[in-house]
Amino acid sequence: MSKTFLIVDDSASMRQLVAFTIKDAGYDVLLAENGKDALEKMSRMKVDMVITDLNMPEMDGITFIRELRGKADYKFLPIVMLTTESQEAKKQEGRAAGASGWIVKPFSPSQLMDVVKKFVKERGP
Amino acid sequence: MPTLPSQKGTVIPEENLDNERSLLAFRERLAASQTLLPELANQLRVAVQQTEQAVLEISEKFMNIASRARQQLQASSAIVGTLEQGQHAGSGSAVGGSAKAEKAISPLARLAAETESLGQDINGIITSLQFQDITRQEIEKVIGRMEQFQHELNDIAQGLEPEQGSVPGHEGLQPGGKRGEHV
Repeated sequence: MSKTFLIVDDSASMRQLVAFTIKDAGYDVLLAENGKDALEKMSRMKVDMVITDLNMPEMDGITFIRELRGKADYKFLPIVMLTTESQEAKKQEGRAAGASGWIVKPFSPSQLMDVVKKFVKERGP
Repeated sequence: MPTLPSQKGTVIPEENLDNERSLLAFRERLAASQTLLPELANQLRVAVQQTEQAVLEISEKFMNIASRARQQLQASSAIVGTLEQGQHAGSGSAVGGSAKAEKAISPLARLAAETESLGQDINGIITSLQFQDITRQEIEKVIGRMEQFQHELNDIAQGLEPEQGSVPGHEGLQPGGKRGEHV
């Protein structure tokens, strides 16, 4: 059964870019516009990995990660943050909140997949 | 020291009155700028949304091209592989068939290399398009700071509001910098 990724970003173009790369590698993708939207989707569907932006309206990435780590089901779920070079403090905050790793924007599709493969144990989808 | 009677009946020294007038003029300038920053911030937000939409369309098209290029690359590689296998196995039963395969392998291999290079260039473009999102987030930060700055200016302007009637000829200002009427 294919693994499902949840991509959380308020930017439609970033969601599209990440989703395209992940789908292209043979995984299933769910999309959310912010942390609140993501939590709502996760309450209905099983997710194997989360890739989330940090700056988002409604519920930002840090709060979203904290919320997830507060739930027993998601204690060990791989959560990767999308950050920028200028967000060093946010990155540390995200790690403290429970993020498993991060990808610095801009990234190439292959860089994204390198990070994804670190957290998805199986070789294929 | 010359003095002027205030409308409240107290006497204000003329020097103080000049200060009051200067502050009033300063406050009016602040009030006049109250709408400028919010308007600029709104214009920026609209422009950023339009850019986001444009980037979305561009990246969508490039991703489609990248996807097709990859399919083409796979197909070309498969054909080259089959032709090469055929040559090695000597299955080109006729000499003419083998020659045709020989002729096709080289252009197909070149096409495959070209397609791979195209795919790398497209990936480069897709990567560069992310700068739009990075810039959008930086712009949002700047707009937030501009709005905070404006908020603080408004507070200063509010603090400079003279007592009603303390400056002869001053009609008072309403929030937003509009002139009010004396009651």
